Amino acid sequence: MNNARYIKILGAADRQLEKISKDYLLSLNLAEMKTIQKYFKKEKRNPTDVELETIAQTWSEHCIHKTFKSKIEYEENGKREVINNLLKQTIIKSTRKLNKSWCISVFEDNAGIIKFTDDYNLAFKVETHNHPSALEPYGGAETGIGGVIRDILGVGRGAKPIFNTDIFCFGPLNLNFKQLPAGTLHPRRIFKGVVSGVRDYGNRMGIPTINGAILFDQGYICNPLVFCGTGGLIPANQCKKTVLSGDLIVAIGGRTGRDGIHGATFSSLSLDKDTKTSPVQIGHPIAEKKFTDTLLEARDKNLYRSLTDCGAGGFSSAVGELGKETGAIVYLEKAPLKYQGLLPWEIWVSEAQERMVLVVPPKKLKELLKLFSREDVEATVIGKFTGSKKLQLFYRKTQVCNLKMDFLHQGLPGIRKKAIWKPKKFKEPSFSQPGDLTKILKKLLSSPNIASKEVVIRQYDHEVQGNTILKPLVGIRNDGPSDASIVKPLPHSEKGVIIANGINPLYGVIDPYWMAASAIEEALRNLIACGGNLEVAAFLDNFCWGDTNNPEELGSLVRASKACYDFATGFGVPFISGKDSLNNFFKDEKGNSISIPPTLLISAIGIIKNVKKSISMDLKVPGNLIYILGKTKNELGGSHYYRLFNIIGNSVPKVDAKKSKKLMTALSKAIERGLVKACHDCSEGGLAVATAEMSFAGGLGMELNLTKVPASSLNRDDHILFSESNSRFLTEVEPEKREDFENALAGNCFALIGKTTKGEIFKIFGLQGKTIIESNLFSLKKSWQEAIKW
Amino acid sequence: METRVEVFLKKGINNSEAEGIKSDIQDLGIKKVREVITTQIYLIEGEISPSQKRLICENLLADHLIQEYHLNSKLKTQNSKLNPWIVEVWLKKGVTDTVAESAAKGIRDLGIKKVKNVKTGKKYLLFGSLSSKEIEIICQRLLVNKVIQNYFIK
Repeated sequence: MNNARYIKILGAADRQLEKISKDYLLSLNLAEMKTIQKYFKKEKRNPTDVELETIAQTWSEHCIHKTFKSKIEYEENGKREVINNLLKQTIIKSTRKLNKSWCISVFEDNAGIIKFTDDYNLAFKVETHNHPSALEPYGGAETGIGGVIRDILGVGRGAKPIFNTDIFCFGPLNLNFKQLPAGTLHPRRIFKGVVSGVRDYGNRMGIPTINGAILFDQGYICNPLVFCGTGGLIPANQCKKTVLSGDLIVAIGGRTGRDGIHGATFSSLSLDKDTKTSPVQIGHPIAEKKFTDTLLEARDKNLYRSLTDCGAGGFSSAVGELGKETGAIVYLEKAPLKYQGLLPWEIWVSEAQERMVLVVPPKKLKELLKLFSREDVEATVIGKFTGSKKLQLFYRKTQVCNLKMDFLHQGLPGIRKKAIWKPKKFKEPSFSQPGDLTKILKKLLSSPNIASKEVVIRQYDHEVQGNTILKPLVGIRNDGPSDASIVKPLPHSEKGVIIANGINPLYGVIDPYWMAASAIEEALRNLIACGGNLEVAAFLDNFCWGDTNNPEELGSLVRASKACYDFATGFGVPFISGKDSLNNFFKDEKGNSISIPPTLLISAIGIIKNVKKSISMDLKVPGNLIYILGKTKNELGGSHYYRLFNIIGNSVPKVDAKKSKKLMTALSKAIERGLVKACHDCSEGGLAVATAEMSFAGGLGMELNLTKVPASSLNRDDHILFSESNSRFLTEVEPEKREDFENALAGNCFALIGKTTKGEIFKIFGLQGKTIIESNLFSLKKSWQEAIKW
Repeated sequence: METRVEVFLKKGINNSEAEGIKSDIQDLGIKKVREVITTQIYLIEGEISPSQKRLICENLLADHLIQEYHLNSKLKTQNSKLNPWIVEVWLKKGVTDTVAESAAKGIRDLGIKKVKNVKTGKKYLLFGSLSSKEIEIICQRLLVNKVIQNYFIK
């Protein structure tokens, strides 16, 4: 046999099976190994290494999300329930229940698709690339963004990428080297490497990076999180994939090498200090740009029937996925290699970047190959789709794999997991109100999670393609923090796409349910604040959790998923796609396991009918009125204010979906009618931070009076200033539109709290009528701008 | 046969990469670094004539407006008394080298077909009275990622 080996699993005892899984880096557990053993017993032979690798890739947590699909015995407050499939029973269930006619493709393809115009749809996907970025930040981030771009290229029959969004979580940049666990890179290095990788890849691909966020927390020192998202524009008639038996399998783009072997199974493991080299991948944006352009031309000429990207698992997952219903035959020696000496299983599972697989009808092949050769992009026939319902692989005429597609895709044994949620109790703070609240405000503005990310944003090209309407930095000097960004992808239509996100892991430490609710609300607030609406808006979920084999960590995942159901349904906004990364923990030298804080990223995509109606957050004209919308409550648990004092607290911000939906609907209509000059969402750092940002972004002063702020059970200035209650907005309204605005908002909680002023003074009067904050707005801006250095 | 080309910025051209590294070194608490110079190294494998070498350097690897190159020789320092530490960083075997792939393609596109392989590396010249222990820290914390790279110090 040519370089493929049979692995003796028939008759192997449990311990030997476990050893095989470990030795070959398969990440398969005993029950799975036994299922494989049973299958091959029926086949009356041992599996080859190619077959075992194929099964391991297909069944990896990364590819199949087995935790989300497993049977979970969940316990909360002594109540027990059995969840058969967490994903189907929470997130997907809400989408099915909402049943929006404009949802074109949800949870089945490489990305979610929603309707945009009669002729075009939008595809949106966010992926994580955490483990590779921890080991090699630049390459890891590059391949993360490269991969999600290919997800968009590979959705339906191919979408054109029109924007990127990137969200990162790192350890503190000023971490002392003494606190850095052995085998981990310093957060500052990871930060610089990841940002550079995303910058170089996104910019070279000519895709604007228009949205993002960066968070810093001790919990991300060993496991940084790198979320890369891309949106694409796809003709409405190109959204369905079909594969017919007899179609050819054509590999395009980069060559196959030994890089990135075992990425899928590797990302399903925890990291430790001795983690090996082989999963590291390096990106090549120029190669991807070349085939992107060629591919879209081939799509419009109808030269292929379907396609998908080679992501985790390489050819194995791409061909396995496309040939699920038909079966496929592949001749591995035909795959173009970077260098000789690769074993058949390595060719099959390599995750070398910038590769995709096309499904080509034989009579279109000649024209397709001609087009690709003209554009200097390698395209090679490596096999064909059959009707056998089997995955058959050959290497130099020897069969090295012969697996039933049914077993590969449905054979995974169901797993049972235990999950428990116990409410946590943290110490309540007992400090009295600090004397100098201006100083506190400056401290908050310069805390890394709130501070300006301009040094990063400026490295990204957010203008390329020339469609960016609302940019990530806005205001009189183009340096204020926009809530969301808008692109207008079609020249003949005024319709725009709004992109926003919500993420706040600090709340998840207290209660993941309210963290999820808050993230969902924050993402929506950002959409609404820029001119979006709830009628056409959709979410992506990205769960990054620690060790979900630990029942308590799994319990918190269940709780967050339940919130996703409750609030997606509550707001009437569906999830269209998502991804999870569930092994973000690190084993240090002493064997201690360090998990990340449970982190849920909610990305929101919305449609604005006319981009001319969009608004930004910076103050526009002196003498205008400032309103606060929504009630300020005693919700400082997990706030950035408490964090200044190293306190967590318990009073995490909650969400009342019914009230919030009513408020958002009224506000979005008011914005559409042109009644609002500026709008900013009130979140991290509360009212004080939000108003300061509006003020220095617009270069105008502000005078506010806290006695006017609608608040419940709050009698301290600092609590009203820094509470992070959800469902709040700040708006600037012209005096002559006062009545119209107030009528438009009637029935909701809102109040006039101050006005914009000429000059440079930002001033807040407290509950006792005295000035509690007074500062030159440029001095506030300086605190905000100078905290994060490159 | 192997050809070694080193490409570096002309004197007086701002090297933002080197400036960045210098300030990163200072952030590590090592204040005595006076100057950093970076050069890009290409190792070209294959039978190529001297005139082809010049063609490759002048038309592909070095931008004559801002860069200079050295062929098969070590970069000389302006003043031998300064005596910098030299660190060379190379990708480990099997790690994709996209810059090298593009360089190899570029050389073939120039009509020079006998090129077998190209490798790229990075050279750092660090000036200042730095101890070998400090150099080791700079390498491990800043210049080298041991997961994908090898390095040596001269």
